[in-house]
Amino acid sequence: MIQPADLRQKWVLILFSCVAVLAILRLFQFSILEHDEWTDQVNAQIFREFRVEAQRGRILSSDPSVVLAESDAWVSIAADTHVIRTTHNDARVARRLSTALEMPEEEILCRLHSNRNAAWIKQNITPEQFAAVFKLQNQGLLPGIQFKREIKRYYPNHPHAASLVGFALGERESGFDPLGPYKNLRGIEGIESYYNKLLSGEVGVYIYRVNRFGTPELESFDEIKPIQRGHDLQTTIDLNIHRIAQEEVTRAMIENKARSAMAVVMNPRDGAILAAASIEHSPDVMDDPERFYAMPANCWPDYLRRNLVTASVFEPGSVWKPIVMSVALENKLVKTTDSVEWREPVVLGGKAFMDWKKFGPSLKLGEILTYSSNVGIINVSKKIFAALDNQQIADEFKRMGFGRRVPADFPCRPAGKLPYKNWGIISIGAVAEGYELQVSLAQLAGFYCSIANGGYRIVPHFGRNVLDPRTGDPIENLFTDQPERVMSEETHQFIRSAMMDCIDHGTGKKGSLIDMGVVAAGKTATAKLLDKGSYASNKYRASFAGFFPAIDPRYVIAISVEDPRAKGYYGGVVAAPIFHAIAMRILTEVDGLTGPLPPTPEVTDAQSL
Amino acid sequence: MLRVFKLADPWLVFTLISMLMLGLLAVMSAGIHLNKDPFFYALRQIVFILMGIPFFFLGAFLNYQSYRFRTYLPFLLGISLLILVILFGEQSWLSLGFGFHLQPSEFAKVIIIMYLSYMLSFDRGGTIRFLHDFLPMAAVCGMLIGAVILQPDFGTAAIMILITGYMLFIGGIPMKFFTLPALIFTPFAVILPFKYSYVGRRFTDYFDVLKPGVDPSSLGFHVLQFHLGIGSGGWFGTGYAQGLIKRSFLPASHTDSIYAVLTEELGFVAGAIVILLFLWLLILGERTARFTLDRFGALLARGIVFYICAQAFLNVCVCLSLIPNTGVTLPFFSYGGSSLIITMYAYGILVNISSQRQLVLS
Repeated sequence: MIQPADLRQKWVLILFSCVAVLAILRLFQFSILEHDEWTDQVNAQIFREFRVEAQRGRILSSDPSVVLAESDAWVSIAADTHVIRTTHNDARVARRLSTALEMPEEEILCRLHSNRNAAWIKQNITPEQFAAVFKLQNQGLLPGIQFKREIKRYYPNHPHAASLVGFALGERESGFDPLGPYKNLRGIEGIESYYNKLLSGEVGVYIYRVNRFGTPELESFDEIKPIQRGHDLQTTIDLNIHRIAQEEVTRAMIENKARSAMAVVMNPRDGAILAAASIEHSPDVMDDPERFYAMPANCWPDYLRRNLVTASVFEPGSVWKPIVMSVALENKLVKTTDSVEWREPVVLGGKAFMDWKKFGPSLKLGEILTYSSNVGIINVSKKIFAALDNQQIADEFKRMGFGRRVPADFPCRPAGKLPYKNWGIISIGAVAEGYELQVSLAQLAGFYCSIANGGYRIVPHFGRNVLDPRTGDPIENLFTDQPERVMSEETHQFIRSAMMDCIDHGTGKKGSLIDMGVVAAGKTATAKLLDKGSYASNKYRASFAGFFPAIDPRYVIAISVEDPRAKGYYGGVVAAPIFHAIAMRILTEVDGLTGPLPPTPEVTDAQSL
Repeated sequence: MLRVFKLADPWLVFTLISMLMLGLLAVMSAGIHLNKDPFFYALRQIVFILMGIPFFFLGAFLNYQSYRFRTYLPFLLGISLLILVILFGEQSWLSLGFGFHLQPSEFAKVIIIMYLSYMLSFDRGGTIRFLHDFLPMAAVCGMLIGAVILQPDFGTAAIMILITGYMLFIGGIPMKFFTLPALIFTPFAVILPFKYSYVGRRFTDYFDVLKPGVDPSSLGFHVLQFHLGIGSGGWFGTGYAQGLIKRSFLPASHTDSIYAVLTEELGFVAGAIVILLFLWLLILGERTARFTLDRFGALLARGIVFYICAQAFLNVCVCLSLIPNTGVTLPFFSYGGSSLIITMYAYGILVNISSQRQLVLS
């Protein structure tokens, strides 16, 4: 007889079906809906990651054999001798280590018995030795033995270029844990900071499995991301020139009892900054500069860490006149052959503008720059302000390279100020004389590069090439942009000629290099300093900007001395001699001139035009 | 003899082969990291399957009517189990030498099914008396279950209680008769978690899972590993033998937890297929039972299918944290000799019952 399924069996079957559906839903919840969450947890449970910091790249001067910053990293083995003493494990530990490190057992024992609390067993171990000791350590066979990763950054030519190179700091290591987080050395200031990414390289990421008890499975070590050494950076800094500039500005500051002094040397062809020296007066530094330079860079006072060439902005004074002149010439508001009326005083908005000496009833345009005539340049400025509105004028200045953050590759580089919205009637005179605006010395030097190189705007910069750390070959040229023409050939030659005259028989005679047979071009400036909201009657900034040789120049030098008090305050008296001193030393010490060059045919205005 | 296979439900044999193959694959993968020889457990499982095949044929070829026995066999078996395990056993195992062990309680499960199928197959004219009919059956089963509890092997005892309850339930025993056994077993069930801390911990672990928004790191270790294994599988798994949880994390990865290994490596799809395979087996069993010759055959077929599927569903539900850990293995999948051989033997009986159905039909 065939028995039909009774009601109770039906209930059991329904129950089973419900359980099956419930189970599949639950499976769906885990496997599909919460899949990512559980996978992350599995990875967290089973895989351990550790990172090994890449060796930071070197910073080189323009000569790749001169190193400005380099670093080294290695893993060492240290012993906590206190643990060794208290556990009486010295003999066993020494035996195991001697096999793993291939070192004589006696030597290890000797180190373990050191009187100090910590002793090095072996520094800079190989990866094979690391693996062998790591394995023993994880088996609990090496009590008191620790790994230590050592990272050091050296600045071999410290302190000469310290304020440019900056420094890099690493975060403190967490204990002795070999797999613990090693924080990257990070560039804090200067080139170290700006090129931090390029210099840092790629952190190596390694992964390994652990078992249930947290013991690593050595065969599971895997490289997730290979460690990549940081690239080397070849900079434009010529350490010799920088040292010369630094010595000269320091000497000038002391001799002139100035508050600060700075000088920048650039290559006008490509905008490479060869030297950027700065010094600020401080009783501490004056007494014992070496004491500060001997300290780690991060312990220095601010005035040593700051490079004024890039970090400070100021009202430039008369070195601004060539800029005003070039704007007028470029906008065809004046012609190079024009003369302007000279009559003192020029009253603008109730303020009388005077000149520093009496000139004739009229002045040629070139003479305005040669003799730095305020009245002459104000008359030019009047034409500019009549033809262009304030914003257009500011735009013209920006086109010349002002109002931009330079150098292109430096962290602290204010753009300066061109507050054109605030310019009024008085500003016609003030702006012409280089007031009511702020620029940095690097910007100024950049403009004088344009005059020197035929009218092209260059970008002042420190980085030259990225080098392969292994071969030393350049792999990337950092600044290859084609310079942009910002002034016509005629304008640049006219201003250059006026600047040559300025050194020859104008205000900048003390900058002359004729005793070495080199013709130079330059412009002096004496600007009043602001003191408590108004221009002080006895505080000045003496500046000088020039280049040499005048034809096909190789060096542009801009100098600024703040508040000189000893020998006078005129740019021609204070700053021009510094130009002379730096240029002479460059010619003799760097370019190797031993005596005056043979006389060259005199360049006249007519020839240069 | 071969006529049995010609007449039997071919789906039954096909399902068995599928489950054995899938199970072997799972054991092979789960056992890779458990022994120095990665194929140690796989080879032994193959040996167990080969040992189980004669038992399967024994069950399939022997007419199921010959299992009609009354009290003496289960009684004798109960006593022998108790004495053997108490005298020579390690917990619930008897050592057979050569590294093989016998778990006598596995046999007890099938004996209970046979015994109750016979006892419940009588036509009692619609009236089942408590003293005359129910109590002897309950006493014999209770004795066997008691012997297993004394070993102590609570997981197996729980399965035996379930099987007994199920057989009595579908055998038509009035519900009120269940009161007395319930009164006897309930105090034991309540005391158990307190007396044996590991049982208690299984319950607390389970209740942790039920709390909403629980932090996974606070889950019990075993429960957490189930979640991690099954959860990391996704649709198609991490790949065969690529599972990570079985590496020293998942306890009993080749036995009780094999479902988690399978799901991690072959994904939701494989997990669902396993559940559906057992549901399919339940349907096949029910089909066999409905068309069988007599009430004894129907009860026997249902009992065997329940015995297999109840264990399977319990195991799967444990892995999915739907119930507390019971320590029950997944039939045909989990590594283990005794249970596999006995299950194959019982499955053979099911095939035999299904072949008799075909005889009638033909």
